[in-house]
Amino acid sequence: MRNFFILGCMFLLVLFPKIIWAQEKMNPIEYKAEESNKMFVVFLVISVIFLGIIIFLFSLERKIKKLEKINQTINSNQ
Amino acid sequence: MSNYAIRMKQHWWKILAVILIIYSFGAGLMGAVPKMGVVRESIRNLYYHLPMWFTMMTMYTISFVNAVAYLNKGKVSSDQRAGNYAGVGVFFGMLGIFTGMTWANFTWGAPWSNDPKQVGAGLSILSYLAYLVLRKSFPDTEKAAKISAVYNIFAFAIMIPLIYVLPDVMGDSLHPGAGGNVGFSEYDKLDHRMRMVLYPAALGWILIGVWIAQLCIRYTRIKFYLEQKLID
Repeated sequence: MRNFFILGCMFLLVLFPKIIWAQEKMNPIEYKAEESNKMFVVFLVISVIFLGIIIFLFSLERKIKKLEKINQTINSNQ
Repeated sequence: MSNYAIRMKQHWWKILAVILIIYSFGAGLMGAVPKMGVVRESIRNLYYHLPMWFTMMTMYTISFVNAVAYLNKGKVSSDQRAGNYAGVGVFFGMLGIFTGMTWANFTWGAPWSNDPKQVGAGLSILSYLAYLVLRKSFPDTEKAAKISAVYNIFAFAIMIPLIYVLPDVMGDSLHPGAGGNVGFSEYDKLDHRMRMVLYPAALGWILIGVWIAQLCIRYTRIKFYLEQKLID
């Protein structure tokens, strides 16, 4: 439960990078990018694609684990 | 220990990698960056281009160490590690080339301008691609492992001067920090805000690289054992 809480806090920090630079002055070009919210959409899309790749890696890992177990049982039977 | 705790112990570094990379996406796209002449907002690509090279270098170094270990002790596992880490290194090298070409298109006016560093990076990737082909070109696995281990050492030794020494010696590189140009570190001296994104991003991508390589190695191992059984 505690690990979940820590992970949740870290994700919140990740999702709101402005918290980290809260005291900073920004120039007009950055204001435009921030105001249009386009950067946030780009960030969300990239994050979703990246998380998809991570889920794929975890599923690959599960499959490889299954294969390793089958291999082990074949070895122990012989 | 509960099942969940065991899983957390096994996968904590993978979760850390994901968090670091998502942090670099957010902070890289929305955080403040120093303003520079031609580069402007495209300087943000530094957070995505440079970590690819860091990861590639780490993968090649691990591959090199394993190639030396194979020549010393002759363990098959070292050869498998050397091959797979080199493969993942090539993958990240290509990502580095593509992110660099995208950046160059905006700042230098063309994706490929025969910059010494670009050419060096391309050549080093080609030399490692040749290594991957060489590994598969011998029917005798032991012979293939030995020859490719020697070639791996050669490719690693060639890569360092191609990427780091030659662009500096030639002196006409467009890359920042090479050929007498000022590096980005000069503009980040005051508050180190770029480092706060770049280093976590690099660490995250290196961990992802190690993870992918581990998956490849485990798969190669299973394949190797099954092939051995078929031969027996």
